[in-house]
Amino acid sequence: MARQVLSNRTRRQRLIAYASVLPIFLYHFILIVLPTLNTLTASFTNWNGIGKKQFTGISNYIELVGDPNFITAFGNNIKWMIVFLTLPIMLGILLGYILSGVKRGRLFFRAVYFLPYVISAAIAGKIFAAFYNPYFGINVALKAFQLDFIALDWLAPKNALFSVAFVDMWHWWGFLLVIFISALQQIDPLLYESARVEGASELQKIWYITLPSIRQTIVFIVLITMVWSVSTFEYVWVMTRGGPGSEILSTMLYKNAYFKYRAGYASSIAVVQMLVSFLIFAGFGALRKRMED
Amino acid sequence: MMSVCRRLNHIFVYSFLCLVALLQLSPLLATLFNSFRSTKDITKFPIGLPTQYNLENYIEAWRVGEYTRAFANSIIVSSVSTISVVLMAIIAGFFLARSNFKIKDYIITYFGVALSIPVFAFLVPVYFSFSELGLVDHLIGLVLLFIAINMPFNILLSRTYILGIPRELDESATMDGCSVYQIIWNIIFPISKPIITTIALIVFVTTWNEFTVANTFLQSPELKTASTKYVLFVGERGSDLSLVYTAGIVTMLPIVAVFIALQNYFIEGMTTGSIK
Amino acid sequence: MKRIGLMVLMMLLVLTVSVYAGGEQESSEGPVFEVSSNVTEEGQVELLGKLFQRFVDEYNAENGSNYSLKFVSGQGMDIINTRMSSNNKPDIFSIDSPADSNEFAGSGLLLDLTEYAEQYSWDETIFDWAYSLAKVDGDVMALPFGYEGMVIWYNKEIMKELGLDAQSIDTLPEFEAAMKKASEADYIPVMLGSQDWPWAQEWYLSILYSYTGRDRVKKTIEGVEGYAWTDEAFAETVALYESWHDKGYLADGRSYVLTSDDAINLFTNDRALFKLEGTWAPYWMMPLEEADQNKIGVMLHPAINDIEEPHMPLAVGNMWCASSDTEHPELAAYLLDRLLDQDIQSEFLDVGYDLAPMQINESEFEGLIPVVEDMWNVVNGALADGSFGYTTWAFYPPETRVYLYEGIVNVLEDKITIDEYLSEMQRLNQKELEQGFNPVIPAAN
Repeated sequence: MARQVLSNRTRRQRLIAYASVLPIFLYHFILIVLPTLNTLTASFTNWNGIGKKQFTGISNYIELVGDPNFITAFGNNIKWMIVFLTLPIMLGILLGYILSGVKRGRLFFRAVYFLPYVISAAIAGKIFAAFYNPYFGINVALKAFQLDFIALDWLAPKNALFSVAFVDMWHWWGFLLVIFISALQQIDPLLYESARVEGASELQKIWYITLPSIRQTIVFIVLITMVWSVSTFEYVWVMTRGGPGSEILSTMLYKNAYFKYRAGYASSIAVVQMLVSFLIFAGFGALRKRMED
Repeated sequence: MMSVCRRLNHIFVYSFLCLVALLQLSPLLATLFNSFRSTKDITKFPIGLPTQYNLENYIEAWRVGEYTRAFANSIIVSSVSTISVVLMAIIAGFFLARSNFKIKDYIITYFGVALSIPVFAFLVPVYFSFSELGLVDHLIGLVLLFIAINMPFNILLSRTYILGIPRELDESATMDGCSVYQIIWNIIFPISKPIITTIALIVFVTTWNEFTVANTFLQSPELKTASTKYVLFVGERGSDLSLVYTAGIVTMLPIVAVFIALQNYFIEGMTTGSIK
Repeated sequence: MKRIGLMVLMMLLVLTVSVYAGGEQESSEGPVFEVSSNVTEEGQVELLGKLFQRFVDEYNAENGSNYSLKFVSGQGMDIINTRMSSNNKPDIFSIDSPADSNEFAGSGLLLDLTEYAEQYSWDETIFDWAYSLAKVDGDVMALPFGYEGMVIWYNKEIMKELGLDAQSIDTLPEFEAAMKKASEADYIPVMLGSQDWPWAQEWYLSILYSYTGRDRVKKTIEGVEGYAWTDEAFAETVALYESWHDKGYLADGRSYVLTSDDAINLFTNDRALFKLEGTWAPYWMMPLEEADQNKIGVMLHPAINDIEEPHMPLAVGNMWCASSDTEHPELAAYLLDRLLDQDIQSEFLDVGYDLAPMQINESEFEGLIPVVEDMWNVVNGALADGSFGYTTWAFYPPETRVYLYEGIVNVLEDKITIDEYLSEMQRLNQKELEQGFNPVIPAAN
């Protein structure tokens, strides 16, 4: 008798789960994925963005592979990814840890660190572009204070990508900080108590308790950092329009789609971006399977 | 002895925090100061304290940018998007964390994969479909798209968080005879304040600052959002540096204010000890 | 529970307001006619909105119709492209160049205006060279509007300080001597910034290629046998440009690092002798203080060889088109024609907007600020004998053109050789010709 009641309940619960999640899934699927299929088909055509599409097979992809612009852009995305996988995440965890241990002023500091995230890319880009100006920017101030060696040619092609990445980092790590604080606060304080009682050092606590507890969050963050590095757009576009030294996949896509009348080619770039992201994601999935075994 | 060590530690930690804070804020402070200086002064020396504080620039920037209407639009778009995404994120996050139904893993993977779809992959096709449905040049169309764009990340974020909430809580509630939704409203929601704040902040800020999609889907000037106004405004008057900085502050200020307000409202959610 | 209730209530409230806000413009009575323009400057937006409203009202009065106008601005090529591939097309809209309107016409998106052009006698009003740009296979597909030319601006005070006379800088040796003098006096000879506006590079290249030989450029683009971008003449020109860059004459070697605003600021702050920009530059001169305005002079760029005299490469700044989907072609043509009214041209001048490419009454040019008046004198003088040059964005094939201004930076950076750059330009030009690009290049006198 009891068992039947339980299984009825489970079945009903399962139905509720389906009824709740499916509409949400469908909403996203219809609005985002279906149109994306449209772009997928477009990548096999020579569509100019406004007229009719003519099927051209995989010629776009073949052209892409041999296109030096594409190779450069792809390389720049990789560089971007490496930058974002290191500094912002480390800062986020470090300061998240410090802040969750601090009592007074936690909210204040959290707000301050998060503030740049609230500024739009257009504004931050414009402001920093003004700072990077070789004639009117901070270099003038740096030289005045005898700090010449820091006064690089910020937006020159060889430095441009990093200069833009710096601005995005300034904007981004506060966001990671907030996510990490959220995760750190879920750690059972009893774990820390028992460690303290056993005489564990600060570093031991971090290594054996903190990091493993937020492991899932870290993995999540690393994953989205990698995936979003592939499709990053706004900061580069606002600051350099993907100019020399800072062309990335998205800016190359944008130019092809809207200024060169090569929407088919641009679509193939979008497809490549998705493929790379899928691969990253699949890689993580495989790793997770391995670790769970 | 120990208290001295403690105090030194305190000073060290707080100094470090303050240093980082200063570095984070300095660009914004410089912008604030520059918004009061004249373009001539700025071109002479890029950073500095203003010599006079007059609000003329501000009034000019506000008027030229037609910010009143733009802000109203941004508030509507961002609020509706935020509330919708928060609701969806908690609900979906809960079921994806707790329940056990056949396609659960597929859906989780689906949302993860959805993160890798760049905006440009669907921007034009969605524009086409929306134009057929008459959703273009309407705030509603923009909202619907923003919700879809922000769903995957925040659902997964919420799920990760809810995984960390001990199961005993809802299991004891089930024993007491609560239905699933009662559990969500009465237990999950209150405990999830940190993640709700986080998600709300993320969605509100993202939708407020978003330019590419908003600029494409809204044509009529009375519908444009604040971020769109700024970009167009600066595009034209870009050489007037002080106006650029002023417009930056004007565009920033409301979102900063909302951010600070939102933070204080959920203040109880920030304390640890979710187990009650 | 209370909180949820509050949230739901708020959401309903916000939703209602948003529906109301979104649906506001549906309250008009007659059919809506949409005009989309790419202007962003406040004065221009206001003027165009006002003018179009007046035209629509007058049309309604004359014809007893009740059209209501929807005027949108700030719609650049990327927005227009997106809209034209959807069902939300504007009725008339402005796009950047003849190359764009050719592309649109090729995809069947433009209304054939030939019959209206005849009705309104456009061929008598509009300059021949501009008019030809609007035709595709003999049909009039757009209204060319806003002619702009490439000139070079200079700082009168620095010019005087260096003991130079702008009128006597006509040839290459004179020009290089002037730049050298400026450089030695610690001024930047020529200011140009393309960081945020990569198209700035093609401003200069338009001049240089056109000055290399107009007939040569025309034949090269048309793919005439015996002419190619890889010819010695073009190689020399690019080498010349590169030499200026290497010597620091060109924005101190930073032309692609500085933004266009930087370039403007540096020029207006007396750091540079010359500033390279076209006849649209007044838009940033007008907000300046009078003292700063009066410092600015304008002239045609000096010659770079013995083949071409200083002339003005021209472009059409806007092409006003009508969508082939429009349900109101008569109104569309009427509005386009009204843009050619004489008495509104001075209003365009006042806000720094383009002028209709036609003979404009002298009276419209009165009351301008000195530097703008100077400029129009130079322009009118240059066009007096019908002589003009070719700009890249009006006449060159689109992909070749984009490569032109993107690739040049790689040349300046020594990443590719001049040969590689020109070969690629030739390859793209050929490819576009094969894919059906139809060059419309009226012969220059």
